[in-house]
Amino acid sequence: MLRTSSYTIYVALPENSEQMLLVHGYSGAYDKVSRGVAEYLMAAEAGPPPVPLYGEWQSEPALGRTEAILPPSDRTLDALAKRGYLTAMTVSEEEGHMARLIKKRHMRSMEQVNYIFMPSYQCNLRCAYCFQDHMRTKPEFSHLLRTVSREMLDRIFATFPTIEAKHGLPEGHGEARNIGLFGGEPLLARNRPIVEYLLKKARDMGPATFWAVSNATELHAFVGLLGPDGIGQVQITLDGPPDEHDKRRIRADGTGTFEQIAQNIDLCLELGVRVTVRINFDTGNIGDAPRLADEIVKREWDKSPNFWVYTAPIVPNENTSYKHTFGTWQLDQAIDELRLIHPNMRVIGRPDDGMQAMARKMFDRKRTMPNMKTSFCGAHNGMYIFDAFGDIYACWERTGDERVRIGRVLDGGDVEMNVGLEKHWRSRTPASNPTCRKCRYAFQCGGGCAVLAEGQKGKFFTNYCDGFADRFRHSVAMAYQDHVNGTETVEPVRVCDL
Amino acid sequence: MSDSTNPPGKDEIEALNADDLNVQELDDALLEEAAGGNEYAREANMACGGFSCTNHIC
Repeated sequence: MLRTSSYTIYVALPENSEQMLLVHGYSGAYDKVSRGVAEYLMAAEAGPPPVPLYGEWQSEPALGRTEAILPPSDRTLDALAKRGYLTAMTVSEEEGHMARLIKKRHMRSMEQVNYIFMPSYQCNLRCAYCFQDHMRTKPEFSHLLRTVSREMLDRIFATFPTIEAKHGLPEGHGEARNIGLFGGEPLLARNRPIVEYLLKKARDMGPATFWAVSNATELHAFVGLLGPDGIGQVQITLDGPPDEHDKRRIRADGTGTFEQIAQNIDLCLELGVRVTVRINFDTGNIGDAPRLADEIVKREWDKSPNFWVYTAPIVPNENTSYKHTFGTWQLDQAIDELRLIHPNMRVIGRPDDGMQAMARKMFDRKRTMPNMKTSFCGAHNGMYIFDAFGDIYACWERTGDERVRIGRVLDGGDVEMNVGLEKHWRSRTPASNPTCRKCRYAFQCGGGCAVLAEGQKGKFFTNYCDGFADRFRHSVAMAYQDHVNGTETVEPVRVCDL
Repeated sequence: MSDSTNPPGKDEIEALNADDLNVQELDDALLEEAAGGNEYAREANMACGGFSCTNHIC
């Protein structure tokens, strides 16, 4: 006897009560079905089906009353089974199957290694919401502010063959290494010599691409290192139009930074660097978004194919109460509403534009299968973050404390891993907690951010949903609508999912 | 399953991606994949399930 797979996702289409989209959580299938087929599947669910995002599909038909529903044709039933929507497995059998699939796909993802260097925890800005602010303002952390030495960089690079062998990459593999720069502020003018040395060391070992997360206040000191053959992508934060940005993104002496950053954005675009601007929003500054959009259009940054803006919600922290923060879904909706009355808001990306673009690619037949995420980010597979002391971390929100490092670089370039902590980070997948492994969206979401889960619930191995179900269904529905209407879309470029 | 008596057009399914997708074949191929040189994969393929034994489902 077949039942509806527990991992069937129903995507209602706005103003369309006769058809629905289906997405299968682990087969990766996307389908359009008639109302009759959708009703049949809902009736054959083992538990209450999810309430659709739009329309009047909820509460009908009654659970388990498949005899009251006209079944689809044998041809359609066969297609539903082949594509994953009907299964002979029991609920618990299917959950076990899902867990095995997650683990297998996760092991595949471990074959990719990404490196991030933090040349220093020092930064020339004093943003109030910075999670590292204590490192620059509290004397007991001042020992962290030194810059990495050439000797330490030599040792770090010497660890790469060992690290890569663990991930199944043979020595001399020849694949381009993806190397990021983070901090603190990695691109301080005083760091230029060591950054230049770092790029050279990486290239001596083989092909490499470089990117950086930078406040962009001293990027002008890096001409010659910036460009498609050097640091080819930079993520820069702007926190509103000039007057508002200058209240938040301030130097240690309290002065603002917008104009300096703007000049450096111009410089980067001239040099062919891909610039991604990140804007952090809470309820206090979302109203300023249209003025920032106007500023971007005035400076003609949006005309460059190398320029992109994305947004992220500020999460509650010691300086920002939850009362003033958005969830990601709320931020998506806030930007949608602003776009209705401010045309220039088209230049400011919603957090979920990437998800919508991915679905659109499949509808346009530009890709066959969706991304299947077995974790929220690289902290749980192959990301290695090296700080100036040779300590190795898995997550860039958890650095600067040797008690949480997953390893360290030894003299001579050997690497010593803290096996327990390394496993702790690398094993977090949707299979590693009972809520996520039952979730229809597990392979689309990846389980959410570990740091935010721990902050919200005090547990690492737990879910952090952030409204994902609504966000996913809305993104797929809008992508399909745009596909049918032939609306042009632009694929966003971003460095980080946080 | 009984034969359908739905009139034509009442039950429709149109694949929007991967027209030849067969979930059974896809899953079997993935689960049978060898670990290769990936040390993390070899460990996870052990009978205990690897890293997250306390949360493992057999």
